[in-house]
Amino acid sequence: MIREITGTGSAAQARAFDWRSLIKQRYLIIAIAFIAVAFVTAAGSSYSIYIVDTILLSAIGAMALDLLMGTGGQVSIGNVAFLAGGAFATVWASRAGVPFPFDVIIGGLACAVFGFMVGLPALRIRGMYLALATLAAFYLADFVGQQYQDNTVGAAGFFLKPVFSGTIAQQSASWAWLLLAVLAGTIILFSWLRSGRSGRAWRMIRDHEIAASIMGIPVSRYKLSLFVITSAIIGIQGGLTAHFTESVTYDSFTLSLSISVIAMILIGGLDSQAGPLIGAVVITTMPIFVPDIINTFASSSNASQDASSYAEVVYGALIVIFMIKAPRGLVGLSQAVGRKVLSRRGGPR
Amino acid sequence: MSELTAAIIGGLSLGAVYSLVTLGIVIIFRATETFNFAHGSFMLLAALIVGRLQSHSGLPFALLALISLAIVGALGAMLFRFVLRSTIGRPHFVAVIATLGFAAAADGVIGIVFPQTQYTITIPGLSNGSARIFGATFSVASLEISAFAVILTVALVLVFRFTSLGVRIRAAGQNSLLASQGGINVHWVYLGSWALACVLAGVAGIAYGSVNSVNQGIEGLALLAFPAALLGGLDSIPGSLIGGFGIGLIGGFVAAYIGGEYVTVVTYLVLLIVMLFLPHGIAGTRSVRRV
Repeated sequence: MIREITGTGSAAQARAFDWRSLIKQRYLIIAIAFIAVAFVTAAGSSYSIYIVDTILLSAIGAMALDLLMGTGGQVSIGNVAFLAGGAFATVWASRAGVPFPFDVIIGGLACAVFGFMVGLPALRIRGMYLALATLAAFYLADFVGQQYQDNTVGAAGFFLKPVFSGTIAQQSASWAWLLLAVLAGTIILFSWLRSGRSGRAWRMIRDHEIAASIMGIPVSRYKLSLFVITSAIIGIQGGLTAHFTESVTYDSFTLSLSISVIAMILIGGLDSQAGPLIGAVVITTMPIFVPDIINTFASSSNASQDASSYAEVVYGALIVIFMIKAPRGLVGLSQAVGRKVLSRRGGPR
Repeated sequence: MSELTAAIIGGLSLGAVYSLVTLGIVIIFRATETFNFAHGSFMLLAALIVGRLQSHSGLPFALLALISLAIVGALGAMLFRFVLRSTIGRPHFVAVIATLGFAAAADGVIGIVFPQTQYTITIPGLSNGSARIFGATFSVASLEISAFAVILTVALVLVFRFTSLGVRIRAAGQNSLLASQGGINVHWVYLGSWALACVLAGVAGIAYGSVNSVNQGIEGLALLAFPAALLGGLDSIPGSLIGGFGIGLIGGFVAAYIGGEYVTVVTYLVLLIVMLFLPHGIAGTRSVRRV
């Protein structure tokens, strides 16, 4: 009974596989990412390595948002607040003299505290108040970042020293391996959290908050810890982004950046291991291809100028379409197709 | 003294527009329990249509306003009919994210269709010039617009409170099953609520755009209506007046005494504080559960 309710959306599937295959899936994803990184760093141009870096970076944040929204069912629309918070806290620590990996950790811890402060009012109430609270978090982070930047360096923004030495391609390759390690750590941490007691509790809260509290799950404590963990991971992503791009300005953190991460997890598939990664690949590479595609269709003179607008239309449309037609994303679609093929091969039962 | 009047009158005139926007958000929340994050897009779209057509064609303002409100209302009804209706029975967050996706797509389309960053709307019949009230100067037009917004909001609140149409809308939102058993066509009520709320957003957008300029900032105004809705009570229709004027006054005082750049952040801090201490708002029903 309990198992059926807490199953990952489709109880039949959870029974068909068992937890061991889930664990295998986690290492399979890491292995695929490892092979991809190894291939691109060995053979790719510095631009393609750079793209892989940005994909890995956004995959870390997408994993965190997927844990929050997919597994926990808590809506956050201002998750870019924690990206900004992590970036500015990292800058602050770095300027205070903290060496590289530790300033990013400080950024993550700062976001954990920030997430606690924002999540505390919202998560004690039943309903979707977190969406509004994260909106508040976005404006708070934006304001604090703007004040800090204006009072220290001005409009040009902060500049950070490069972490790695060597040519641009070598630096990008080092970044790829570092980010892969962070992503692998995130995947292992999250799949451990998901498959255990906390994952069951979060899914129960997502599917039926009242039933969860009746079953003795401390609902607000679980929701708050989920929000703090995911905020910290997004903060770490922010700190890494700051070091990766080597510059931080408050106006690069916009609400539409949040929406693009939501698009990632919806396209990939909520509450799945591979979903956020697939979504990160699709959405990150989209701005590269969209102008070309539009040029072939519309051949308007200012297509490249309007590229961000077109990308926004595509994100928005994809969010709406996936939300209505394929709520389990590409992962769910591929599983459905796979099941159909398998059942046809096996004949009618 | 002049700062105090500037804070109060400036806050009240902004609060009037907030109440109109907040009323739309509350109507949608009452009807379908969804936060409409696309509200700002509807405001901006209506204002942009009027602004653009006014500069390119010689059509009278009233006709342009009707056209743009019809477009916005139809879009709102379509958003409900083709997107949100298929989210019924699914978790609530599905609908919220769908409105967010719609907002992103609408913003993109707006960016492509309306290339200028700024448009102006002129409403004929508004007086120009300014008035001095207790040492602070105000444009008469903005006061007239605010009066119009207040009258419209109050009229709608009264309609919701006292007419059978209002009863039907409130009933359908409270308990759709019982309402449909009672002979109310729930689907049409929802559709009408969405269309009405989006028309209100359009009115607010045009009204705000006529005294300020029409640009992307209007969408930030719509997001500021969420703190107002929460302050007044998310499910309280009269609460939208309380919340709108409350947030407007807070903004007015912050702008007059601390500085304009603090308005947004203070407003959202108010949102967090209200959520912590008074999650049902000033006039909302006390059904909010703590867990």
